[in-house]
Amino acid sequence: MPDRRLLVVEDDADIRRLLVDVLVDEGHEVREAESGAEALALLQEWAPDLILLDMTLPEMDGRAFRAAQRRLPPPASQAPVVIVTGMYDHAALVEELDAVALLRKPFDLDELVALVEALSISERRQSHD
Amino acid sequence: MDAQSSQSSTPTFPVGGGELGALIRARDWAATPLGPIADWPQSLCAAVALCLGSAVASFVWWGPDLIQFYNDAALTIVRAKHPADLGRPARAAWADVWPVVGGLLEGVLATGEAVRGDDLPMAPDRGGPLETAYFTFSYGPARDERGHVAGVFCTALETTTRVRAGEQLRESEERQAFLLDLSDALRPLADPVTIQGVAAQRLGERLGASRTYYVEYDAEGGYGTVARDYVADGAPSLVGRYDYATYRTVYTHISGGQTWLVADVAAAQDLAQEERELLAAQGVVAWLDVPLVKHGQLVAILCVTQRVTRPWTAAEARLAEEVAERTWAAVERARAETALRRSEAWLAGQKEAFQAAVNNAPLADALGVLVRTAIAQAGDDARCAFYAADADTATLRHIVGMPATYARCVDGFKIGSDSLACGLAVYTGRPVITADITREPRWQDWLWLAEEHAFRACWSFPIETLAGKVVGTFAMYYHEPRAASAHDLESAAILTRAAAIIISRYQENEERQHTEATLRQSEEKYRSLFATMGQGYAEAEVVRDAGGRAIDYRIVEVNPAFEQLVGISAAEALGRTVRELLPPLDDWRTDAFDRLLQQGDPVRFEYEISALGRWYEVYAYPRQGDRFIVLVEDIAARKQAEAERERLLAETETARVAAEEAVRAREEFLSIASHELRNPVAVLSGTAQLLRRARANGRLTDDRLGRYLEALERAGAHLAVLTNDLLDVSRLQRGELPLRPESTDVAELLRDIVRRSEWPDHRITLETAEGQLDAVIDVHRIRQVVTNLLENAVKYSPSADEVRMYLSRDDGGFLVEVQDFGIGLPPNTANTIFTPFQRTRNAAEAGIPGLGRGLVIARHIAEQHGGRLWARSEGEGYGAVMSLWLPTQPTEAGARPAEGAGHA
Repeated sequence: MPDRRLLVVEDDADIRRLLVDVLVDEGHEVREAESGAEALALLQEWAPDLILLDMTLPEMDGRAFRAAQRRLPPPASQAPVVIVTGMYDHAALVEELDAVALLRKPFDLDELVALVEALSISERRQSHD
Repeated sequence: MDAQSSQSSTPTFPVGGGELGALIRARDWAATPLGPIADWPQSLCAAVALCLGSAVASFVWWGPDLIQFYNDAALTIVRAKHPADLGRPARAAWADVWPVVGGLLEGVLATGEAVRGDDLPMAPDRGGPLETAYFTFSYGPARDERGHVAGVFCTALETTTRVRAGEQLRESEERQAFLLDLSDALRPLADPVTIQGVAAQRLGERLGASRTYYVEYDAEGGYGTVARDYVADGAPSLVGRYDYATYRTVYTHISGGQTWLVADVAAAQDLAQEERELLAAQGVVAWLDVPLVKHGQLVAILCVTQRVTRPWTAAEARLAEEVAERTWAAVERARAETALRRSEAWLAGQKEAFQAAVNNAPLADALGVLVRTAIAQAGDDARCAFYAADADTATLRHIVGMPATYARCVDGFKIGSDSLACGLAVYTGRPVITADITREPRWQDWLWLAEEHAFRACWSFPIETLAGKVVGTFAMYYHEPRAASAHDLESAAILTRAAAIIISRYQENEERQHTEATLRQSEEKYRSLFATMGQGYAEAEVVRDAGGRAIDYRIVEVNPAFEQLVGISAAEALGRTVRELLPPLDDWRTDAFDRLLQQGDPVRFEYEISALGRWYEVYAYPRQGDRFIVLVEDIAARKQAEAERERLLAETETARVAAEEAVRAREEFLSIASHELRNPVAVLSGTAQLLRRARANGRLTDDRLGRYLEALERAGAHLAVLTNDLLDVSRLQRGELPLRPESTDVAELLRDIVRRSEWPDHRITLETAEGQLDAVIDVHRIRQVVTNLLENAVKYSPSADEVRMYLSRDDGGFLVEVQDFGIGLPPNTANTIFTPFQRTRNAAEAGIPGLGRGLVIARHIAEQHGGRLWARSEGEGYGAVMSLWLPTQPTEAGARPAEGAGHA
């Protein structure tokens, strides 16, 4: 069901490729960025339904990106974020970045798919309300 | 003829003459030897006329028969014999007194000389009771016409009053003399019984009594005691005690204080039959009882009795009364003196005992004096002793008084309610008086002991100190049963009080000695402490100005430590003032010392004696008066210790910080490692899943399969590098990283590394001074090191496009420098970057991944070669230079250039 627009922000090319392939296979419209700056530039013209955000990015890490994202005009600023990281302290991170979920590396693809699906349903329901 | 003529003539003679004149005129004198008045010679008539005319009693005896004439005044003498005695011959008229009077008259007749009889006793009938009267008679010759003594003319003057007065005076004088004698006899007597005996005897002899005795009356008991009596005529002695209830009538008569005279027991009608019988048994017929009432209370009776009837005279009664008074006074005096002597003896005894105590004689000696005093007072049939009460064991201990055989039995005797005598006295705190131990059940088991020591009465008195503690007992033993009188109790009280004082003194002495010993010990301890303690100790005394302000302090005592610390000997310090010895005290310290003295506030401050260059801590606190104690401590050592402690603290802190830093670094490493490891792992697992999914849904194209395989290879290679690095770090930390040195051209090695490098954004330049530089190194490891340096240079200069590398010979080795134009190093981090897992803050901020492991391994490898690896930076944003110096021959202890040396 190619109905969600997803942005993958990840500096590791192999992981980025992996994420994009899976999500595209699931029918989503997926775009990718290998740095925070690139992602922000993309958001200027394209508003995703969900952002998969790696935390350890060169120059601008996940925190900085999230802060910058929020300063963008809506709807780019409103795009929910799923953190994809190998870092600890997940709960604190989720709260700090006001993320909707956290996907921990190494992740399970079925889990990733289910998570995106669940969030999409929730998103849809919210938008219909 | 004369007679005839006169008979015939009218008798006109005598003229007048009162009653007697008339009687003479009327009498027919013819029948008398004198014949009728007319015949009387003129001389007779003249004599009769003179007699009748006299105002005083006068007599005329005339003629050989001494015919008596008298006048009216003489009627008081003649009385009942008048008028028969008129004209009677003198011999007949004065028959009763003729032996006296006859002689006088005849003497006058014979000699013609006048005589007188003074104070002649007569018993004139005066119509009342017979009473002797006294007269002084004057007898003079009456001569006839021829001059012969024909008769006697007598005048009489009654001298009864005078004589009586004289008699009374004499009796009084005699009584006084008697009483004076009695007083003299009684005065030296000290024993009341002897006094009573002597008084009774004197009075009895004086009165010629059958029995005389002095009864002391005990008003409380209602009985009288006769201690001694005077007995004459074989009358029985009445010594003993008499119950006056038996002599009820006697008591009634005398209790009012009136002397009771009974001349004959038969006449004493009111006597009870019982009393009558008792008196009869005592052989008493007449008595004279003199009661003595003092302060309204009958105290004594002086009794005089007679075996026969005896009319007591007033003088006798008076004498007995006087004797009674004197006896009572003498007895009282003797008693008072005895009491005084006794109390003086008590006092002397106590004084001697106290003296012994004061002289620290043994307690038994001091109390022994009291024992002797008590026996001297109580008499030879008494014994007494002192016992100590041992509070701890609740037993008695004999101190002094009784023989050892008795003392042994009493020692250890229990104090308690079931004790006898002294044990009980201590327990109850009250005297235990056993008048007769044979009647006291408590004593039954101990009668053998009492018999052995021959006593029947035992009195025990507790000795109580002023503090109210019973410390022992005083015991008295008597041969015979004996109750304690009030006097005995009082004496014992005096004695126990004295004993209490003495025993208290000994106890206090013991306590004091103990206290003193303790004090001495503590003083010795203190002295020794004082002498050996490391703290300087000085005792100082304030010196005040005229206004009382504390201005200085005089040192009165110092200890060796003080001498040593302050550098002043005791000889120098003592008696001198602080101002004299030490630098001037500033106002603050003077004030502090003043507060110390005024308010007792301790003072503590640090004090420098600059002359000695030393610092002291001074602590001063008040002792007493103007004294205070100064404790001085050299605080150099303490300050050093404090500094040392601070250094240790700082070291500890550094270590703690380092440890925390290590922990933090390890955590960061783990964090980064988790990230860096997770990425390839995520690729591995994710790609595998993707392959499965793609195959399952038929989307696994050849193109995708190729990409996935490449991804898998890369991930595997990445993991291999990471794993090797971690392994290297681990082996390095365990010292397991062997070198394989071989001779190599370093310049060529570096050129090869640059050739193989694949950094798309950075250009690597190499400058070598020489074409070839040979060294013996582990080529593989050194390649790893240089590659790592270049990787870092690239990684930490993301905004730059160039990394420069230099190679030069240097001091027996060669130097490789890698310069970048990146983020640089924060201050003080040039060394920490070589610590395992340490990364710079700015590297982390820049989001540059890394484990902080490469440089650690690199430096280790350098050091294994005997070389060095170091970093320098001009600061953040100014890039960094990594320098690797290696000897041309590897050597652990190879010569190294000084830090920071080398290429600038």
